[in-house]
Amino acid sequence: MPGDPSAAILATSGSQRTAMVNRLNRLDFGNVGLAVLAGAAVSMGFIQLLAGPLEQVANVSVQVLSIRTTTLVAPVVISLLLLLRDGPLMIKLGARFARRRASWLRRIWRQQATGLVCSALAQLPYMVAAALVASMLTRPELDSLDELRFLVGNLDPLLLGLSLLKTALFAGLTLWIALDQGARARRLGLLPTAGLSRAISVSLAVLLMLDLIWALLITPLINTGMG
Amino acid sequence: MATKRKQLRETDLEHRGWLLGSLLLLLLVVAGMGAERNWWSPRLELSFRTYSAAGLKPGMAVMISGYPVGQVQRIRLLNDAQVQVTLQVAKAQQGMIGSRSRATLEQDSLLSSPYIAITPDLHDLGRRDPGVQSETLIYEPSPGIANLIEELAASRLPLQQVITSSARLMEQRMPRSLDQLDRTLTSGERLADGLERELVGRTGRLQSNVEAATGKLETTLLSVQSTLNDIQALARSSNALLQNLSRSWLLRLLDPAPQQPGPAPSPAEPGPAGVR
Repeated sequence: MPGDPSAAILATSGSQRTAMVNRLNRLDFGNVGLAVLAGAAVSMGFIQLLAGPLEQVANVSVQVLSIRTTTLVAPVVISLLLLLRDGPLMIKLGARFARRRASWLRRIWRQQATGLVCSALAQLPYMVAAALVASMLTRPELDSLDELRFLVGNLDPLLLGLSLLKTALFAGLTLWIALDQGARARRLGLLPTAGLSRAISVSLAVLLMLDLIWALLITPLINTGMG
Repeated sequence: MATKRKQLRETDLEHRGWLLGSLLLLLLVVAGMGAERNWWSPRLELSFRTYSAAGLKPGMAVMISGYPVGQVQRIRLLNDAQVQVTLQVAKAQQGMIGSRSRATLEQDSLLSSPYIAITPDLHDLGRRDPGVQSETLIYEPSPGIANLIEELAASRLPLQQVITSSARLMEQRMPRSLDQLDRTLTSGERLADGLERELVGRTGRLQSNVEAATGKLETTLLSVQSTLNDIQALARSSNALLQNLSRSWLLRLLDPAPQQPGPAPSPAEPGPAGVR
């Protein structure tokens, strides 16, 4: 219906929606830069804390510990960055799809989750690499390449695998919560900002609670190695 | 529309670039972890059973002659309350592990990490079947810290008794022995002084005697030399006197005339001159 103004509006909203989805599922310099900054900041901060007030002089041990810590906290950090950066977009997307059908959430979540989870997963190696380089530069002990090889060799494969799994899970949860809160705000006639605020608080609570449960239940199993 | 498509293509290209970079980083990390854990070299599985897994944990290093060759892969509690420990060892070291190999839990120093040490079996080195993938080792548990503390506690009383008797012995005997040693040293010192004094006196006398004897000897030698000169002069005078006497006429008178010489000996008869 080329002459119908409502069709034009729908087409416009469709193309906008596509652009939004594309932006949500795409990695760009902003995403990766934030992940790199976060990895370097966590690693350097941790090393400075251990080497400064706590006076830990075993540089290599401190570096290994900082990289493991970064790998451990990376899923929460990536999910929060994702939420803070793309939260408004997710809320808007949720509100838009809420108009269409009742079963919109599951279908849209399925469509978008794969792309978003892939994007979140792709940020983890950047964050770990930034932590590796930052720790190597903060307290150099050996030749740079040897030190980097040593630090990579001391990464725990199980820890890295579980971090990837946790990142995927947390990213999916964040997306689901944001879409749900967008739809809820639309349904209740609330402002999108109210939906965003609630999505952030709910996501924070859920992610931190899950991380706590993970630290209490899964991490001891990994450490004992009997799992 | 074309601009939007172009922007979409650029976004898509950037997204794929970052994804590819992330994948490369992940591969590098995995390759680094694998290189450290010998993932990329063929491995051999070994196992042993023990009644206690104390001190053992997955990831612990496995060494032959102090060289890392693998790590502990898993630890499993069996139904008979024994613990099965599975090791992963580089296949290149398979030849050194045989039926005589033993696995022990070792620790180089109090602060260093414990590791599994496998003793090499160099018997029948070339005739071992390389196709065997899994072998069972004999595990010899090393004495634990608890046993060491127990033995230390058991040896405490005898050690204390030995120390007490040593102290008593030192207390009783040592002053007496020191006194005796002191007295012996004083006597020795006195003896050495006497010997030194006597030696000095005797040396002086001996030296004067030697000097006197030397003087006398020199005097005697001078006398002997003068006597010899006199004897030489006497001999010379006697010789001159005898020559004068032999030429004197008185003796010619007293000497009878010599006899006529006989015929000359024939040349055929060899004379004393022919004998020479």
